[in-house]
Amino acid sequence: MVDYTSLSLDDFTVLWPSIILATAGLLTLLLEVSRPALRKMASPLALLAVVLSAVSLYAGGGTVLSAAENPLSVEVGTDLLALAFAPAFYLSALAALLLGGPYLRRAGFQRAEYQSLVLFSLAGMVLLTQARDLLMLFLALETLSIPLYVLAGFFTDKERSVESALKYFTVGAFSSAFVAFGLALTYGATGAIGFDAVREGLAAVAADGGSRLLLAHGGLAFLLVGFGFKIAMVPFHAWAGDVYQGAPTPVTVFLSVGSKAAGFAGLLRLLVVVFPELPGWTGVLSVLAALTLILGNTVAALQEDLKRLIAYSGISHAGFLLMGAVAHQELSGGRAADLSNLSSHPALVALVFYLVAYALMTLGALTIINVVEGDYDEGTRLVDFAGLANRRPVLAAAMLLLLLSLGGMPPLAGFIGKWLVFSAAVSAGLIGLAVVAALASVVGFYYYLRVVRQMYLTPEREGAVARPQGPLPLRAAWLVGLAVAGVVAFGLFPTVILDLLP
Amino acid sequence: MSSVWIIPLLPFLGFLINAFVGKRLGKNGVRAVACGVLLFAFAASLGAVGPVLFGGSMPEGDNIVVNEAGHAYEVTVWEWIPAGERRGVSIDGGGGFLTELNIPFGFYIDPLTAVMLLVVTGVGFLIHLYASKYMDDEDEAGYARFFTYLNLFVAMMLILIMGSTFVTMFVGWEGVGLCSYLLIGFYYKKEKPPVAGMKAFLVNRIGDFGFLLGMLLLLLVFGSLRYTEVFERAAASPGFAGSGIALAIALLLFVGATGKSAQLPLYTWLPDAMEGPTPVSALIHAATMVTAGVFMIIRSNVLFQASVEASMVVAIVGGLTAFFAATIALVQNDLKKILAYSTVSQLGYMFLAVGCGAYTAGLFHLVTHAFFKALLFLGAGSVSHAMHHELDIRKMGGLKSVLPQTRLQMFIACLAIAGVPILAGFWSKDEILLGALAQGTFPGLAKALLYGGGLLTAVMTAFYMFRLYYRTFEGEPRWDDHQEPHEAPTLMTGPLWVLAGLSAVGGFIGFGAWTHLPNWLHHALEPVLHPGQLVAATAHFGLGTELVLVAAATAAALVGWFWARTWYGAENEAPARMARRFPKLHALASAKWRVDEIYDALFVTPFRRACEWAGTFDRWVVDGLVEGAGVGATLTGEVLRHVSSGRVRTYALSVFIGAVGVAVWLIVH
Repeated sequence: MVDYTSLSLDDFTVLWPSIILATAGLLTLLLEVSRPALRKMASPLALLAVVLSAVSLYAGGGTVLSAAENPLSVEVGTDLLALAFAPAFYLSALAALLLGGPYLRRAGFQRAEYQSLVLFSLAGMVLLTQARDLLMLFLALETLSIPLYVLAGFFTDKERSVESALKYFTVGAFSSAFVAFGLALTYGATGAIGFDAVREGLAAVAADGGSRLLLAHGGLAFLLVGFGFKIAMVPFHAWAGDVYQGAPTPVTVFLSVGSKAAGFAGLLRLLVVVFPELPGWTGVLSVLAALTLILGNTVAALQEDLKRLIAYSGISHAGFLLMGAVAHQELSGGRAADLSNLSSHPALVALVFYLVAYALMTLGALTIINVVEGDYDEGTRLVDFAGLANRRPVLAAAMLLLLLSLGGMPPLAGFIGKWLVFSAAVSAGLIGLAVVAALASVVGFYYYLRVVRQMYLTPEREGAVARPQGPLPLRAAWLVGLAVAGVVAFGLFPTVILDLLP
Repeated sequence: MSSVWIIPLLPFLGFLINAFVGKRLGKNGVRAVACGVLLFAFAASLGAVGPVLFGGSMPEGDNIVVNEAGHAYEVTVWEWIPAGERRGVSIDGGGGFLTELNIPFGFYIDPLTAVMLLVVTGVGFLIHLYASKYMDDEDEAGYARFFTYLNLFVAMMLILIMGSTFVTMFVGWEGVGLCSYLLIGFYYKKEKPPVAGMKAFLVNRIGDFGFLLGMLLLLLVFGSLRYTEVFERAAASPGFAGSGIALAIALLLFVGATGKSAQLPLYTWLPDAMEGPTPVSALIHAATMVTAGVFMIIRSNVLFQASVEASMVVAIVGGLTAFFAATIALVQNDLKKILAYSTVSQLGYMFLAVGCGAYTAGLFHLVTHAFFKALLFLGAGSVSHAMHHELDIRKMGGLKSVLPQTRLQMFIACLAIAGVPILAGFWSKDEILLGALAQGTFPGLAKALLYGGGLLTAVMTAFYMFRLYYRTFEGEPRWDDHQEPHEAPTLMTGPLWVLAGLSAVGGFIGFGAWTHLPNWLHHALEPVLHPGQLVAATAHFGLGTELVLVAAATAAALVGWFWARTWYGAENEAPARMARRFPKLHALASAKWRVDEIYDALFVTPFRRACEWAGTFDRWVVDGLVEGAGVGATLTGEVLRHVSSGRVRTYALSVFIGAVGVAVWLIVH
C-alpha cells in the first residue's frame, strides 16, 4: 500500500486547471438559484475561472501525478502536447462564454447552466490531454462530451436546436460505446491501462502475433471510430452539418474548435504514444484521410448555410490533421514520440501549428457569422452575407482574411499550417496523399470564395436588414481582432509559435 | 542597410490608406495617394536596380548577401518558415542535400528582377495615372475601392518579382490572383463580372496546384527554396540534368505558369477577365500579372535547362497557344476580346522563346509587349470612353476625325505589335523567331514547326491588329451621331503618349546582332542565365542568314498589314465572302473553337455532378439502406419520435458500416 498521507498539495498541481474549472462550474450553478444581484456574477466568475485555469496549467508546466501517488491509481500529466493543444480549448471556451451571454439574452434564455456546462466540458478537454491511462482518457472524454449534448440543445423551445442536440447525443453515445469497447479490447490485448505499459504490451503483441494481435487491432479500430466521430472524420462525420447549424452559434464555436481539438488531441496521443509500435494502421488512416479531404471539400461546395459550410470546412481540415498523423507515424518509424522534444518530430510540430491556425480561423469566422446572425433573424445563410463589404467593411475585410487563411492563401497562418503538413507528408513519402490533399485544397478554395463573392461582389438585397445596425459588438470585435491578428502574425512569423516547442 | 523593402511597402501603404480612409479623402486624395505611391516606388526601384543594371556600388549590411560575380544581391528581411533538419532525396547517389533551417522572407535583386521592377512600377504608374481619370464616373466609395485593390495588386506583383524564394514568389502569385479576382468583378452590379472573376481565380488555382507540388519537390530534392541555393545545387548536381525528377519539377512549375499566364489549356479565363475595368485589363491582364509565368521560367532557367523535354513542352505549348489564340482574334468583334486573345497569343510567343532557351528574347518581348499592349488597352479604353462603353468594332469606324490623338497612339501600337521595323515589337519578335531556329538540342522538325508557326502567327497578328485599327478609326462611321464621341482629357492621353514613345523606341534595348549595335538587354541578362545545355546549344547565325530571317519577319508583318488594309481599309465584300465560303470554320473560330463549352462538358459539369453525388451520398443513400434493412428503427426507437428527420439512423448506420470497414481492414492487413 502506498502511504497517501505523505501526499502534499503540490502533488496535485497538475489537476489544478480542472479543479478550478469544476469548482467554478458548481459555483455558477449555485449562483443561478441565489439572489438576482449575485446571479449577474456567473458570467465574470466563469471567465475568471477560465483564465485562472489556463494560468495554472502553464504555470504547472510539465508536472505529473503518477498512478502510485493517488487512491484512484489514475495517471495524469502535463506535457508539451497538452500545453500545445490547450490554447484551442481555452480560446473556444472564452469565445463561447463571451458570445454566449448576449446571444442568450437576445434569445431570452439567460441561464447560468450555460456557463457551468461550458466550464465542465472545458475541464474534460484539459483532462483529456493530460490523461496517461486508458481509464482517465475515457473519463475525460465523457466529461467533455456530456455537457456538449446539453449545450447543443440549449434552446429548448427551438425545434432545430433540440433536434440537433438529440442527434448529437444519440450518435455521441454510440461513439462513446465504440471508444469504451476499443479501450476494453486494448486492455484485453495487453492487460495494462497505463499508456507506456500498453505501448510496451502492444509491441510484444505485435512481435508475437496470434489472437492477441487481433484484439489489439480490433481495439484500435474501435478507438479510431469513436474519436473519428469526435473530429468529424469521414464516414463518421454526418452529424457535423446538422449539429453545427442547429446549435446556438457560440456553442458551435465551442464544438468546432474546442471539441474538435480535444478529440484530435486524444486521437493523436493514442496514435503517437500508445499505438506507434503496432504496425499496419497507416494504410487505413491514409484512406480515411483522403476520403475526409475529398468529401469535406466537395460537399462544402453545396452548402447554403454558413454554419454548415464551416462544418464541412472543419471536416476537410480534419483530413489534413489525419494526414499529419500518418506522416508522423511514417517519419518516426514506429517508435514512440519523444514528447519532451518536438524538434525531432516535424509532423507533430506541423500538426500543432495547423491546429492553432485552425482554431483561430474558425473561431474568428464563426464570431463574424454570429454578428451577421444578429443583424438579421437567423442570418447565417450565404445570401445574408450579400453586400457585407458595404454594410460592415471592417468586418467583411476580417472575414476575407480568415476565409483566405482557411483556404490556404499565403502568407497567412492557414497556408503555413498546410505547408508544414504538406512538407512533412512529402518527406514521409506520402506523395499520393499529398497530391489528393493539394487537389482538395485547390477545389476547396471554391466554397470560401463563394462567401467572398457574396460579401464583395454581390449587391445588398433590398430591404434585407431586419434589425437596426448597431456598432460592432465589443466582445465580438475583440475575438475577431484576436483571430485576425493571430492569423496574420503567425502567418508572417510562424516561428513565434514554433519556437515555443523546444 | 538596403531599403529595397520599401518598394513593395509603398503601394501596400497606399492600399491601407485607401482602404481605411479612402472614402474620407475624396477622389483627389485617393488619386494622389494611389499614383503617388507608385511614383515613389518607381523612384525607389531606380535606386535599387542601379547596382545590378548600371554598375553602382552594391549595398552592404548584415542581412545582405552580394553574389560573387557582383551582379545580384539578396536582402533577408526575416527568417520566415522553419523547414526542420532533414536530408533531401538523393538524386545522384550522394547523401542528398541537407535542408536549410529556414525559408527566409526576403528580396533578391538581379538584372531580371531589375527589368521587371522598372516595367511594373513604370508602366504601373502610367496606368494608375490614366485610371485616376478613367474611373471618374464611379462614386467616391467605388473610386476608393478601385484604387485600394489596384495598389494592393501592385504590392503583390512586386513581392512576386522581388521575392528571394519560391515561397515568397508564391505569396505574390496568390496575392495578384486575389486582386485580379476582385478587380475583374469590380462592376459587380452587372451579371457577368463576378462570374468571370470566379472563373479566373479557379482556373488559376489549378495552375497553383502544379506550382505547389513543384515547390514541394524542390524542397524534397534540394532541401531549400531559396533561389540562390536551389539554382546553385541544381547546377552542381551532375545527376540532376536529364533526370525524371528534373522533368517533373519543370513540368509542374510550368503547369503553374500556364494558369497565371493564360496558356493552353488554362487560357480560358483571360478573355472573360475583360469584364473588368479597362485599366485593369491593361495593367494586370496584359502588362504585368499574366507575364508572371514567363518571369518564373526565366528565373528558374537552371531547372528548365536541366530537362530538354520539359523545355520543348514549354516551347510547343507556347507556339500552339500563340497560333491558336491568333486564329480566334482574327474574327472577334469586341475590341477588348481581340486584345485579350492577342495577349494570350503574345504570351505564347514568350513561352515559345523561353522554351527554346532564348530567355533574353522572352524577357525582351515581355517588356515591349508591356509597352504596346498597355497602350492598346488604354487606347481601347479611350475609345470606349468616347463611345459610352461601346466596344463592338462593327459599330465604330471613322473615329480618326474625332479621336485624332487616340488614333495615332493606336496606330503606333499596331505597328509595334505587328513587328514593323523599327518599332519595339519588331526587335523582340525577330529575336524570338531567331531563337526558335537557333536551339541546337531540338530536332529539326520541331524547330521548323516552331519557326513556321511563329511566322504564320506574325502574319495573323498584323492582320487582326490592323483589322481592329481600320474597323475602328478608318472608313465610314457606323455609329449614331448622338453618341458624340470626344477625345479623352490630357490626364488620359498623356500617359498614352509616353507608352507610344516606348512602343516606338523601346526595342532599342535589344538590337539584333545583324545591326552591330550594342544589345543592352542581352548583356544585362547574361549573368542571370545559367550556361546549361539549352543556352550552350544556341547556334549563332551568320549575317546573311540573319538578314534573311529579318526580312522574312518583316514581310510577315507587312503582308498581314496590307491584307487587313485591303479588306478593311474601305468597304470590301471580301471578308463576308470568305465567311460564306467557309461558314463552319468561321462560325467555329467566332465561337472561340467552343473550348469553353468543351471544358464545361468535360470538367465543370462532371465536377458539379461529383459534388452533388457526394452530397446525395452524404444525406440519402445510406439512409435508404437503413430504411431497407430496418436496422435503425430499434436503435433509436421512441426517443426520436418527435424528430422530424430520420437522419440519426443514417449516422448510426454510417458509423456502424465505417467501423466494420476499419476493423476488417486492420485485421485483414
